[in-house]
Amino acid sequence: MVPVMEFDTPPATSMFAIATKRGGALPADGQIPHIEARASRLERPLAAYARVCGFPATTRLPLTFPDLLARGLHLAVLTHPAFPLRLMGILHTGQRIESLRAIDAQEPLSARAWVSGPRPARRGGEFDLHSEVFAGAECVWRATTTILSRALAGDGQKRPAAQPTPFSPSRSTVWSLPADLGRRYAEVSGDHNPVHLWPLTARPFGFKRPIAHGWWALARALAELDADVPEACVLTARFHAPLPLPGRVSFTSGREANGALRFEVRRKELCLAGVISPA
Amino acid sequence: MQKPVELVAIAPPPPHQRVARAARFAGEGGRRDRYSLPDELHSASPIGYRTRPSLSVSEAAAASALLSLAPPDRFVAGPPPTESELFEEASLGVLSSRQSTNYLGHRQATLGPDDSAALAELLEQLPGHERPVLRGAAYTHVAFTRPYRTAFTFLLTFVGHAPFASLFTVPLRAWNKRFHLADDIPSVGYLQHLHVGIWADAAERAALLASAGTRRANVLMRAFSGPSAQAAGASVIERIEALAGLSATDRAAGWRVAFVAQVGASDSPSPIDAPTCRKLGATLVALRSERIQPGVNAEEKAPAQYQSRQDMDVPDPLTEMAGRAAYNAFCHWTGVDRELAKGLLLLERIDVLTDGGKERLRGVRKDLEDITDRLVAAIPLWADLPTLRALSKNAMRGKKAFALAGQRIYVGGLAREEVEAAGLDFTHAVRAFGAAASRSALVCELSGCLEIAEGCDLMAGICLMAGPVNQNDIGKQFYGYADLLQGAFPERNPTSLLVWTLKAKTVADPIGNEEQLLNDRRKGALVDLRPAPHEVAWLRVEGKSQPLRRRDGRVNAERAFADQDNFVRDDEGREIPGNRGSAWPLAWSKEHPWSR
Repeated sequence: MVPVMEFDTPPATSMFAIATKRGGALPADGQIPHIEARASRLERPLAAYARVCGFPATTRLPLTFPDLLARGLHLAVLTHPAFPLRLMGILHTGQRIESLRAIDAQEPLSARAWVSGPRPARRGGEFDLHSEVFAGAECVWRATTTILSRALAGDGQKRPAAQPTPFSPSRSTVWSLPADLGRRYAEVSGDHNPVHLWPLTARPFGFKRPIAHGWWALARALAELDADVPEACVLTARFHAPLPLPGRVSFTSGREANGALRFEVRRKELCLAGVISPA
Repeated sequence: MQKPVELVAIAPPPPHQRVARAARFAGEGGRRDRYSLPDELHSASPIGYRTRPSLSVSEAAAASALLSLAPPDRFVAGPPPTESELFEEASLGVLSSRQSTNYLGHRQATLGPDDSAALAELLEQLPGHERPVLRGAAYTHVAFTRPYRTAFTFLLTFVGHAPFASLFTVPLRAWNKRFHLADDIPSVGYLQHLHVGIWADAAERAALLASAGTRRANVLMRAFSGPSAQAAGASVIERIEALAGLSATDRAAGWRVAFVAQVGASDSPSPIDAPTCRKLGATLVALRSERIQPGVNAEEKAPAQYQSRQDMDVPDPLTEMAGRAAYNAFCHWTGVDRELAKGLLLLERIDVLTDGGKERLRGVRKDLEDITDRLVAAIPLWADLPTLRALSKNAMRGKKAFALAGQRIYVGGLAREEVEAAGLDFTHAVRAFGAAASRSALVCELSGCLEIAEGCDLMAGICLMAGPVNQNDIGKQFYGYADLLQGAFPERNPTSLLVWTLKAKTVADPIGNEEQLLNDRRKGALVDLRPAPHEVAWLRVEGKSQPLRRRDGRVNAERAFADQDNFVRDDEGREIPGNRGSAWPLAWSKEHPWSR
């Protein structure tokens, strides 16, 4: 039976529930069961989110914001007893967002989220967390978040990295990432994963310093891109390396020959790369 | 009163001498020096590492209008300014108008149309304006200045004291500097006003270029120049300060109104079309002091392109135009007629290519070095030793900073008695002198961008310096030396104010010279040329001061006139990370600050 959880608003999930979520064995077919959560009303701490990510205050929702609205649903899915993986130490490795049209900040919205996967990766297994946001019956936004779980066995195979497409930069700037960035974003997003908070809490997960939330980095990139991002578009992004806090990274963006908007966040190495194309 | 000025083409050297900076990244593990490109630029300044665009003959003809701009005689109704226009205007004004040495001593408050109307009423009550106060300004900048204080003036606190007595005279002087705004030597006090003049002159050009030719600035400076003008209009100036948001703390720190720039739409046709305004804006933010004359004063480790002399020279018509621009500016700001201006401006030209010129230059250099040696020897040990001789080491660095090199070297100044006999306030004349020197230098800098030959960075540049004058002033005040201009004007009791050197060359100075202006890890030495908008400029909206380009946790990352794409690259076309900047959010930059 497919577990479907119905909520009025996305539920709050305690850090304790996340931290104590235990892993189990995958079903015989090797796939995560379809677990789905739905909410008929989404709430919006938009101003605080815009401030921490650098979006100007607008009447339209930032492209990454619906994910935050649906975050409670994500956690409801991931902490469901039927979900077979532990949550501590999972890493956000990829993102696809499809914006079907601009969303007005005042529009009543609903959402659903479900999970699928996994598939093997070099150092673990990746699964996908899907989200859809609706205005009435119309789907206006959908996303697939790819997450790496080291609890799964990896295949050890190094996959060839996609060759970077050349682009001429139209924006290039340097961001200072303050030490408290993870804590500030956690306050707004509710994602209190300890890997983002303090050096001591990040250490057990193999990081000497806390690292920035992947969603924050993506949101900050979109805030930088501002009006370059079309209202209806498809974004694909890959997180290649974490962003330690505090730190300094460079952001570059520009158009590829086919008109797609490409962006990169680098320390010395590439940390985040993405492409945005009109839908 | 102002004569037309033309830019003059400079003949390039033979093809084998046409060299450019061609800086590269140091590469992984490589050692960076002042000749290699910086790893990144992390700065909220609108300037960045820029290259000089090459101006065509027609663009140069348009640019020459900037060198003899007439003030507006009225304002007409026009569209309100966007935030973006105000940003680019500030970029050409308060954020970049200063030349080779600087201090965080300028601020700007910009008032909207309603406050501008109230301000115009106040201005009409002030005596002594050089031109009429206009009604109908779209906005008005109130420019503030404070006494010149830098690491250099800190060092000066310890200069010129007698042994033993220094234990008492150093603290006394420090007290007077802090609480009575006294200067160690007169020329440090003049620096503040030279900078104000340079800025005021730039403000007129900034308003025109940032508005793509649609607006003009009516700059009123004389009523705020010097203690007597400040005293004569004290009560009105106090109300102006309140309107612009100057606090009592600021006043105690020495901040005063330097000038007021009323800006509004003009119905006279623009001398420069919109695309050329953009290009000239990008050109002005690319201009840098040029200290190195290839083959003359490059250090041994400098790359080959700095080591060989180039067969090119500053043509005489260019020096003539530079002089004309200087007289234009002096007349414009003082209101004196042209012949009187020629008499009041004291200019000594040192032509280094002649025997007499070489001898004169050697003499100047020797005197400045001797003064440095004497002041280093006299720095009180009780202050120098505990700081591990930081004071004397810094003083010795002056020898390098004050080195003079170029094909034409000018020493300029004024004679106080003559200025006052002409009915001018000396402080105001010093400001006008700053404007004159910088406008003259601009002729050379813009001519140096005219038809830049293939493979070259520029055709000419300048270095405008006060350092040699300050050093000479130390000699005058404490060691009995004569003024730098005394030999050329023996009967006129001259006061030298600035030195500038003109250089025809094709290779821009090492990028390391710029880096110390932009890299916060290298700031804090003697210079800090590149403030962020929110540090020095604010908009007055509904009685409150809003820092320019600091909003909702973000600060500026945009480079002014970035659409012109004149960013430094290496020879493979790679850019310095962060140098290009990133545009301010469109929703904010399109806003009309006073019509929200």
